[in-house]
Amino acid sequence: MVAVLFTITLITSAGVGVVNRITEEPIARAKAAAVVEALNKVLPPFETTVTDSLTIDGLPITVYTATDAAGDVAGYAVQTATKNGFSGMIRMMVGFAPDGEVVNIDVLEQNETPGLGTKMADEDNPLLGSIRGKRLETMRLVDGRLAVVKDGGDVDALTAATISSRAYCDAVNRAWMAYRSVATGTVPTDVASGATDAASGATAASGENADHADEASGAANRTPDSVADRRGRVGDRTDIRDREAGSRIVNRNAREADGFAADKEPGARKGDGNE
Amino acid sequence: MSKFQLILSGIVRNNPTFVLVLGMCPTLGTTTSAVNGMGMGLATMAVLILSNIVISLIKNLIPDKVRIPAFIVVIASFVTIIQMLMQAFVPVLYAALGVFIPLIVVNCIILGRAEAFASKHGAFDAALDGLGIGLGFTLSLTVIGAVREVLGSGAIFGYPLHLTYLDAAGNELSYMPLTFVLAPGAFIVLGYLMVLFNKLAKK
Repeated sequence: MVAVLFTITLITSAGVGVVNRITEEPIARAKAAAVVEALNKVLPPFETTVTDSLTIDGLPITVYTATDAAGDVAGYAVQTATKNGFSGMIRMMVGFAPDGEVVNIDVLEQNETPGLGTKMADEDNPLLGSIRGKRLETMRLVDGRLAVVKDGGDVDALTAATISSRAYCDAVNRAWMAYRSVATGTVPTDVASGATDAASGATAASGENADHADEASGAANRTPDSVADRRGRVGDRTDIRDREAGSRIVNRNAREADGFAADKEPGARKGDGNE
Repeated sequence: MSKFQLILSGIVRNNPTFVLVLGMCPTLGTTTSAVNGMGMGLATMAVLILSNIVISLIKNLIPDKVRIPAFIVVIASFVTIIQMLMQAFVPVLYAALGVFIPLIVVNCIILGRAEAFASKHGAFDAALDGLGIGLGFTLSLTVIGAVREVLGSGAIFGYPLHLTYLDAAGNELSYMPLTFVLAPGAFIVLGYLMVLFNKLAKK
């Protein structure tokens, strides 16, 4: 009895092993082809790519730096993701031109509500329409982040799919952070300083100077102290804390942000709950 | 029973969805559109035919006490093999059906037919039974998916029926109640179709 079951298991697992052997290479090739296809969709014509892997919010992000035949940078494609979708992960490929303009966005994987959230993958949907061809720092940002109209930004949401639309913006934001990190060599320490960068058009300095700059901008931002303003930023700070916990590229202001977030934790929680 | 009747019985008299009421999890979960329902049905049919053949071939070797684990091992292996083959050679189809494939292992239609039919009949009859039940499952899921798609998103097989109006802000809104695409709609549509099917099948 046991011998029969053992034999059946042995034969079937051997079969699975053989098929795995046969299909291993074609599967790898199919996956690579899918990446190349997505890159072609979101980037101007290019010759080769260099890959950088980052982790933001504990999510793996891949940045493909594409160069053309002359060896100049043709653009950056960022494979990004968000956990904030209505049902499950959303993965997207976001293409940036060398000057930061969004070339195109390709939704690789989503399980949103059919007929509502799934429209994010359509060719001409309002989300993509509001972002494509723009440099994100020229858009109306909320705490340095892209946001839908309902949240004070200027990205047109999908009708009756606000959660999916917010998730879309979240994934694009993450792509934008990764793009800035790779393209300009700057490390986006926190979201508030990102906004300051965008407003002044300056690129953050590195090392010790950047720390000071961030502190300064943080302090400057904190001065107008309306309640709503404060709560918004508190929520953000918690975000930052999370980001630093799971991130390789962001780790400088950990202590300061941590203290601040712990201080205001209840408020931040409440903010999260409202979403 | 003639060979043709064997296939037909899987579609009507022993329809897995509306009469046997087996495999409700994939039925309710994947029928958000006609194409999804059909994809799930076809993938299930492929596994069902293969596992029925193999199980009817080895039925005399399997001791009665361990038949269920033996069936499950065979079924799970076929599902894994089909998944890998699809991923390797038809990545487009895999992208569309990928999420449903692992679900097939736990689909009780397959185990049910292995137990109730394949372990008692010859390989050819078992294959025909797999084909019939598979077709019955595919047709049922396609019909449920089509009804939910028309009622819920105002489209059929992905083609919009343009049942929309413009609101004051110029947004295009659908007349159709979204509920039918969501989970409650699955239960409602399944219930009404089950009544209708049994009413018609009795005649």
